[in-house]
Amino acid sequence: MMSPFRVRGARCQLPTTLSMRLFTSGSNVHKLIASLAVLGAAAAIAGLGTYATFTSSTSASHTIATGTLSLTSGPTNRLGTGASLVAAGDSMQRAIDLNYAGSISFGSATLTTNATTSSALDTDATDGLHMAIDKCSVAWTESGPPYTYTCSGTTSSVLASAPVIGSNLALSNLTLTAGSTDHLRVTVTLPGTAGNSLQNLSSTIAYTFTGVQRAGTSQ
Amino acid sequence: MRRRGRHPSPELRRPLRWGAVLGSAIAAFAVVSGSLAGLSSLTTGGPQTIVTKRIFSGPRSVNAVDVRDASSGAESNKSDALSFADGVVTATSTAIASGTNRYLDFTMNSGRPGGLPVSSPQFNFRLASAGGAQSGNGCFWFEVRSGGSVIGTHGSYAAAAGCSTGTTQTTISTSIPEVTSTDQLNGLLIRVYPWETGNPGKTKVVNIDLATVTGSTYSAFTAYETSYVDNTSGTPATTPWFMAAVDGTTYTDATAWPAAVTTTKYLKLTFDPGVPAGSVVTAVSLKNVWHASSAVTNGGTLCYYLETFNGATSLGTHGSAGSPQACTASGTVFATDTIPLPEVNDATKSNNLLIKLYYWVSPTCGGAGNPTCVKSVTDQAEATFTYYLD
Repeated sequence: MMSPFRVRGARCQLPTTLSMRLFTSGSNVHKLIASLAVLGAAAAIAGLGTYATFTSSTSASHTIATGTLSLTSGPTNRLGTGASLVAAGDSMQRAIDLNYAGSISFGSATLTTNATTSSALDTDATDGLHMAIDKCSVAWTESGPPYTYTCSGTTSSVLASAPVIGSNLALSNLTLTAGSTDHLRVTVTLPGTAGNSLQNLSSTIAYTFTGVQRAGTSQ
Repeated sequence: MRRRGRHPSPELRRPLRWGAVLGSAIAAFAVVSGSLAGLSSLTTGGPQTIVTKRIFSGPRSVNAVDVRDASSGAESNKSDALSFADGVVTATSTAIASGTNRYLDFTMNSGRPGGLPVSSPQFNFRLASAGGAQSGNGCFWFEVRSGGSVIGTHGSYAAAAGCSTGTTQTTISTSIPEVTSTDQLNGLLIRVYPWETGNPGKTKVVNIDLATVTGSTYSAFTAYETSYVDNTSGTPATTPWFMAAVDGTTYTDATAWPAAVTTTKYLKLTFDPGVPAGSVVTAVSLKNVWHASSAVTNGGTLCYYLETFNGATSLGTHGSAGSPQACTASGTVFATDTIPLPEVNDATKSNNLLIKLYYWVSPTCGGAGNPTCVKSVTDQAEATFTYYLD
């Protein structure tokens, strides 16, 4: 293979010819280098002269701090109160306050329940335990035990009746605003259709309320 | 020479490729996760333990199993012959030998609350040879059937579940652990294959004195037969217990009722509901399905009132001589009376409940111009106990 700098007779092109000349004449190379050095120095001096003027600057900075999202319960939380000697057709009311304690409002909330002690009471989706949740615009007025609640404000449905075990059940009509509280009443019912197979059973239900932040907005 | 890039050796290419793929996947995950990330928070409630009653409230009906007829002024035992070891026996319709596969079916009542575990269940069968020349012993094996299926077999023709000796009645109790729930117990069917071991040429009948199932739920119970099928001849013959159902199988008392109430003349009914101790009894009632043995003429009617007892202690009366509980003049149309018995309000009174029905013909009977004194015909006498157990 031929070197790109090798002479190829009459077919050599200009760059090749120039290169050949440059490298074949030592004095010319030195002249060329000297010329370029002079031109470079002149250009540098001219440039310095061009930018040599008054300057001034200003700066700005901003701090971006994230908020907090905190879902808490209380002061009312009766969900830990169980019930015994439950018969078909019985219902149990328990109140819980959900607090949106952080600085960021919530966009939605869900409820997940699971049975830490399981029986047909929680596995029978038809005749087993069902729950429903409603909300009072003010704190529920409690009486009992056995606990029952009345609302002096306005009630709305948060969760329609559903089997007591559920995952990520969407909760409706919640306030969700940072700093506010929703007063909930959870009603667990053993349907009147519950048959003898549901006698003398025990289930333990754990409740987990999960809230997620509101959608992102311009700040 | 043209300079060439260095290429990895073939053994390095594959790891490099996988590295590239994995790196891309991680990058994609990071990007997607970043785009989906958001704040969330949770709080919990509970745990909340919910326990149901041991027995839900509900009605449980049992028919009278012990019946005493004192229409004559003296009690006569008219109880279910197969419910008590009392010497009142039922003979097989046919002489029966080993290996015939002829059987007796006993269907048990359904007086227990459903869904309860049963402990120590056993079948109690009392039998003996009817005797006679060259007679032997009474033997049997049996099947336990529930819901139309055989759930247990006890013994065989080669190895009897039990035998009596000669004509001496012997009760043989056999554990039937396959009965685990009152759902099986209610309406349980026991199919008994009996045989008599006497001279094959003179095989004799077997006398049955008792066929019950006992055990315990929260308290001891006895399940009595409500229907008995004798298929020892090869042709099944059914004998319902006359108090068990409205089925036309009736009991007519022995003597015509008097012209005025006499407290020594009555039908006495005893129930064995097996209400568990501690149960809360919320309602008890008696259903009496009856009519006169013939039409009561000349303006008369057959009437009754009743008295409830806790054993020997009177609890209350329903109706009186001056104000009957019910009357009828019909000799064919059954009257159905359902009478609440609020004085029977706990498990003890329920389990010891005894009811006397005092019948008479009102305003009088016998003699010229008066209606003829008549008997009563009873199709069903059933008590219903509504209770629960915490």
